[in-house]
Amino acid sequence: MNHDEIQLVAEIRPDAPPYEQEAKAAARRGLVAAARPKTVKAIWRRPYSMVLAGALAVAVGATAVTLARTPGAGPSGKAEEVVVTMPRIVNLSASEVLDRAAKAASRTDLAPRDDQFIKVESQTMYGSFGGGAVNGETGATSEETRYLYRTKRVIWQSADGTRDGALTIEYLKPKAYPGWPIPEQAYEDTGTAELPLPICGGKIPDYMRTDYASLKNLPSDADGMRAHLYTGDRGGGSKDGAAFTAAGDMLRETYMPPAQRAALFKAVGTIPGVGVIETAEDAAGRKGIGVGRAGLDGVRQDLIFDPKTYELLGERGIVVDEKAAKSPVGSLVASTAQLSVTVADEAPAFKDKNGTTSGCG
Amino acid sequence: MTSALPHRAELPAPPPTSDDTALIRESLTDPDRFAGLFDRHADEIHRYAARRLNDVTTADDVTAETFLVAFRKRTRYDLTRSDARPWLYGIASKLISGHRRAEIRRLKALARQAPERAAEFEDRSAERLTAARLRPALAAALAGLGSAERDLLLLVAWADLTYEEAAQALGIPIGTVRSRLSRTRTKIRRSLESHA
Repeated sequence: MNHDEIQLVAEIRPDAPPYEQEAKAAARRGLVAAARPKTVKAIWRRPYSMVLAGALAVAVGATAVTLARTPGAGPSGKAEEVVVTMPRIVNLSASEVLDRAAKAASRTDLAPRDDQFIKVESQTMYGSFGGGAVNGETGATSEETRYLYRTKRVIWQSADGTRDGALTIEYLKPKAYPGWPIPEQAYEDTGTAELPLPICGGKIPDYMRTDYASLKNLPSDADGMRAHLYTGDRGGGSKDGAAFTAAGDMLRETYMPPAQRAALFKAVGTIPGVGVIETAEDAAGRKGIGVGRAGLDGVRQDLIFDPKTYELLGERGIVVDEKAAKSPVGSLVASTAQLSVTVADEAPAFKDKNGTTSGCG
Repeated sequence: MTSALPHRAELPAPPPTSDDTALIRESLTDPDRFAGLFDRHADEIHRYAARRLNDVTTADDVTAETFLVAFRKRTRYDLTRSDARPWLYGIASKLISGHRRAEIRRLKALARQAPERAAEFEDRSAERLTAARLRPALAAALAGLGSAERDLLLLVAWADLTYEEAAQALGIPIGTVRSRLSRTRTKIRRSLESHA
């Protein structure tokens, strides 16, 4: 007797009952619901951003730029004037500004323990893109919609990446995406959503981690940090675009210690295609140094740094190519502000809609 | 009569050389498109879940959850792979192993299934006859495997994945697939011998 055991197992394969239409339709609805605006942030954070060749270095004639803090924006609530001296050159390269910036990165120094959480409060506005999809059954294409959805977010993330975190999203009134009417669905998300952020098996490769424990161990020199931005497969066809995206991911809703922050500021300026805007405004009206890169979607994404400490104030997206972006040049199509970054002992234990705290695969 | 063993010919043809990569790529900027992946593969994933789990409700849940998890992880999908099925099977496998009791109930039900009478096997291969007679022992052997072994074995034996696809699904090297299957064969053989 010499039967292959695998074949024997294949022969006792049980019959499968059919996938009931009702259950199938419910699963599909659930998936479509999950793909709705709440997750649209992925568009902004997409790792597959494309390259736009050529530098966007900004011509600067002035020798000094005055950056004013908006009253009420700083912790003291008082207007604060900061003067940053710019190099006396016409084409200001990003690396030159960032090199200066790095020397200043020193203010906040949080030191969370491994069992604590980084809590970040922010205000966001991102584009929500709907429709334009082909129905698998009817072949019909749904109407394309665009609007800007706005939220206030509070996120708790484990300092060492091992504990479940939490997120609250308060939906604010939507705005029109420049050139587009606001669709009805823009008003569907209201109130405040409370979501658990389960840690799922820790399968993220080390080079993609953004928890405090891993950020604090990154190189504190620009070359080392630049190498880190280009480490591993970060997706997409453009290594430079992926490196810029990685820099944003390391700063957004995280806390990076001053030494690594300084190194990252220097490193991001060496990414091809990155340019500097001397005064960029975040969603809270605070002005900072914008370091940006345009994508093939016709939108330049700016990381906005505090001119004094070079922490991330927020981000913004500005249309630079009307045709690609389907919106007028200069339109503000994304705007965020990180309002506070603090340490918390615990994260709220929210349940997801199934009543469980695990959403892991 | 007890349920007939499925014939290979009755199984659905593998999907056409559809390019799942394009759908997943589009879904990065237009999340709605991800539903297209569901339309393509939901039946197949459900069939596999229903084979491995004893109750349909759990299979429904596993299928729905598989696509939700896949949606959340889509930014990390390897866009060089044009067939997303191994990836989906990998996610489904993990979810199935979280339903250990439903899985064990399935194997027990399989073991209880009475062997068919010899007369009804006239038009069947000797191998199939043997498998049917061995069904209770095989089910017991399956229950005795480690979950990693069972996941791999059933992806190959019940989902018809190639070794390469199974390797992708479970995120293990092809060499590991071969050695693990070889070890699993030996375990099953020993288990059958002890039942004999």
